[in-house]
Order: sequence, then structure tokens, then C-alpha cells
Amino acid sequence: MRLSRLNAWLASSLIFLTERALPARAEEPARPSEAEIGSIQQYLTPHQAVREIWNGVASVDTLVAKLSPAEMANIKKTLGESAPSDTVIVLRPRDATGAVLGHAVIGEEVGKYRPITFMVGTTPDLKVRDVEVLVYRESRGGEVRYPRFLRQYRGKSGQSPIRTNRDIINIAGATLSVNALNLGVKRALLSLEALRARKVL
Amino acid sequence: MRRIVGFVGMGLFVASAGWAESPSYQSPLYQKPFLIKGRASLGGYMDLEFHAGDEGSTFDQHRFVPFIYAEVSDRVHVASEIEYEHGGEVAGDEVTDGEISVEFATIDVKAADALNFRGGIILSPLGRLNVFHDSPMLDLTERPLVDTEVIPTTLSEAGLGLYGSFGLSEMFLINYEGYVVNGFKDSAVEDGLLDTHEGAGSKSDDNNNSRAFVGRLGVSPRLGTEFGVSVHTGDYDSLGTQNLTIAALDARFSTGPFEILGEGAKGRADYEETPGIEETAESAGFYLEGHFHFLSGAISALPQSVFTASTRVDYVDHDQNVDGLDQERLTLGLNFRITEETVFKNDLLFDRGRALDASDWNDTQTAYRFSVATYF
Repeated sequence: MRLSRLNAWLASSLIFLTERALPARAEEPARPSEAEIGSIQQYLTPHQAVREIWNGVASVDTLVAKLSPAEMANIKKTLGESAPSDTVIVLRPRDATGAVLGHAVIGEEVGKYRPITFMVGTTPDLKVRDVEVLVYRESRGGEVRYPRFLRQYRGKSGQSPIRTNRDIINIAGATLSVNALNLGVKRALLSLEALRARKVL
Repeated sequence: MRRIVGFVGMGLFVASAGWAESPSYQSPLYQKPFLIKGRASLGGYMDLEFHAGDEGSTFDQHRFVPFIYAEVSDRVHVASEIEYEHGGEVAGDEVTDGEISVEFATIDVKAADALNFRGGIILSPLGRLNVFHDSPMLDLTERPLVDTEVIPTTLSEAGLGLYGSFGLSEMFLINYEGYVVNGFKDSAVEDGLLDTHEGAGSKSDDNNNSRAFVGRLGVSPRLGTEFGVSVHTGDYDSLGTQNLTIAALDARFSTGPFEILGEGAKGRADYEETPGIEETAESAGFYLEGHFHFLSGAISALPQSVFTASTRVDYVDHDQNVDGLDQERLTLGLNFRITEETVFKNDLLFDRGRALDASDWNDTQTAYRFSVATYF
């Protein structure tokens, strides 16, 4: 009961965030300054994160898709953990010619205390182009939102291990946050690959 | 020895077998934190240890540590951990040997990445392990000797200060913590020996009306590499005339499946056993620890699992002003993590020491530790 309520809350939060930020608004401010980053909880809106990951974004459309029970089971088998929701919200940035630049998924995973909200942006062939942390809520372990950590995910696919001490360098003292992001990035990639296999993307 | 090997085997069997069928392993019950209600989270960690050695064997339910965390507002966070040790009976009860204490309870006010306020009962940033010491996080059951004999892990003190981090470049990060705290008390020196555990100060009453300082500066030139320097200094006696300083260096390096970490610390306290004659009590120690992570995800039913082989060398000199009174330990460990949050550990410990004024080392203990620890 508790989990289903949490799922519903997460899904509605993500949809709310997405609808508020998209489609593109010309007056959207640039990425916050370092000083501002320290003083607010939401470091990037989804719209800002899309523009951090891709250059030349003219518009963004949104696809809300559901994973089938079989797809959910496959992802669970690979990750060893249940997905918090079967709903995947995919953002598709396009350039001025209308060409799809890639795909983005917003996810949430719990670190030590609280959920971390992040965006995984991929190339059109579903390899990570970049990962951005949108909201980080904990007092320690915030280094996971720095570019020097997040750049490790670039080029990863659903077949990559995305594991600490294999292809991801851990941050001592932030192991649970690192693990949460590893899980979230891999979950996003597997979800996109499942939708691609079903020709939804 | 055969019994110890048997225990190792039992531990590995428990660690690697039977989990594929466990119906509760992927239960939502085990998603952490256990409860998020509004702005507060409830979770924690716990462990169970089995000790076997020359003096017998026993189970020890060492730590049960619930935490409460709350976002009071965007800028204000409260974090706390309540530690129940050895069953959690009240300290001072002659019938029991447990302890209940507030390990830390802090109010954090976030101003910017580089500048934040923290006040309350603070985990003293003296060395790295004192701050990052959760048993599910550590790869060996026993904490390093230097972090029990020189740095009185877990040292938490009432006080306030600042913490933050900033980058000199995209790759080069600096972090710091610095606090004014009550500091140590008179019993930190006993019979000319430094005893920082006994000397940990009160959280309600500074014995000498003179605050101490504790701080750590961490430098990370690249991801996976960090060096830290830390110090705790202040007067510890009731008159406020004698200084106690503990200085520590720590380092950590990781690449691929390999990880090396270490910490060294030296404590020095002034005291007067005979009025008018100044003396010093000094102790020091270090540890060096290596890890190799392997068979990551090799068990198909446990894709997040990983094995880790560990080796640690410990050294502590309890009194640097005399010959002897020192201790060495070699620890060999093999642990199995179901996920990063849950670990089964098997450790073999080989201790040796030198008595006061002795020049020869004597084997003092060969022991085995099995433990299971998890966040919840």
C-alpha cells in the first residue's frame, strides 16, 4: 500500500515537472550559477537539463509509455530490484529540422535518506550522452551531481555493467548515492531499450 | 585453526547459497529508507557479529542504529542517528553491558555548496573513518586499531561550525569541515597514557570553559583519489591549562576493482603528574588497507552482488615515550555483498604485541570474525 502510494506520487510528480517545463519556453533561464546551485534544492529543471545535455534543441516532445509485465520482469531480473513504476516518461528533443537528437528519461532513486532525481539523456542509438542530477536532497554525498562523477556514464548502454568498482568509480562516503544513480541509469537504459524493441521509440 | 576454516566456510556458504529462493530478498520492505512520511525519513543500519578466538566464542549484536532525517525546509535539514550497542541497555546499568546514545544529531543550514552551517552533536571529522563508519559500508568487521586506540571512533561532540566543498577545476575538488566543540575532559590522560575513549567530552557540560577545534581538509585531484588532513586540538583538563591535540592524515585511491586506503594519527597531551614538571602522553598509529572486488554480478539470481577480498595492516604505539607497549594486526577478509547495502563478512585476525620495555614481539591472538550488516 505504502509502495503503491509512493509510486503514484513519484509518477504524478514527474508528470507535473515535465508538463511544467515542456515544451520549450524561450524565457527559461540558463543553468543556475554555482552560487545559486548551493542555495536551491532543484538544481536543474527538466527543461534546463535537456539543454545541458543537447545543443541546438528547438523543441521537445513527451511520450508517456507503459512497460509490459514481461518487460518489467526482464528489467527486474537484470537489476535484481523491482522498478518503482511501470510508467516511463520519455522526452525527445528535436533540432530545428525536426530531427530527434536523442531520448531522455527522468528517474528517482533513494540514496541514503532521500530520493535523488536525475535525467538520463541518450543518443538516438540509446547510449548515454550525459546524466544530470535535477534534485539532490541529502547533506552528504552531493559529489554525485558534479560533472567529474557524472561524465563516467557517457557512452554506457543497457549492456554495460554500470557497477561500482567495475566501470564506475565510487565516491567514498557516498556509496549509497552512487549505487542509486547506477541503478537508475541502468534502469532508464533498459526501459528505453525495451520500448525500442517494441518499436514504441 | 580447522575450526576457524570451518567458520569461514560456513560464512561463505551462508553468503552464497539459498538466496535465489528467498521470497523476502526483493520485498519492498527492504527498500530504504524504510519509511518516508512527509518531510521525514526513517531508516538505519544494523549488524550481528560472531567472534571466535583463543578466549572462546560469542555472538555480539553490536550495533542497531536507526536514523531519522528531515527536510525542514529547502535550506534546513536535520539528521540524527540513535545508536543501540550490544542490545542497547542503558549505559551505567551494572547488570548490562549495552549502550544507548545519540551518535549524532545535527541541524544543517545550507547557504551554498562552499559554505554551510552545522550545529548539534557532530561526528568529529578527525580522520575519515570517524565520519564514514557505518558497518554495512566497511569491508572488514573490526575497525582499524588507530581508529579505536588513538582516534576514539565514533567520536561525536556537541558544537557548531561550517562545512562545504568547492572545485578548483572540473576534476579537482576541495572539501572541508571545521567545528568548535566542547572537547576532551580530564580522563583523556590516565597514568601517563593517552586514553581518548575515556576522555571523550560531555555533550552538556564543557569541563574547562574552553572550547576545542576539530576540522578536516580533503583534497581530491581526481575522482577516486582523495587526501585528507585533520586535527582536533584544545585544552582538556578542568583548569584549562593542558592541551590535547590529535592530528591525522588519510588517503584513498581506487581504480577499477582495486582500492587502497589508509589513515595515520598521532595524539599528544600535556600533563603534570608531579606539580611543576611538564610531561607529555603520546600515542600514534596507522593502517593500510587494500580491497579487490571480484565476481560482480556473477550469481545470476543476485545481479547486484559482489565479492571483496581485503587485507589490512594495523599498527599502534600506545606510549611513544617508552619502549614496547605497541600492537600490530594483520587482517585477511573475504566478504560478499548481496547488494551494496547488505554484506556478509569473514575475517581472520592475527595480532601480536610488545609489552612495556620489551623488544620482542609476541603473538597475542589469532581470531575469526563473521558478521552480517545491512542498511534498512
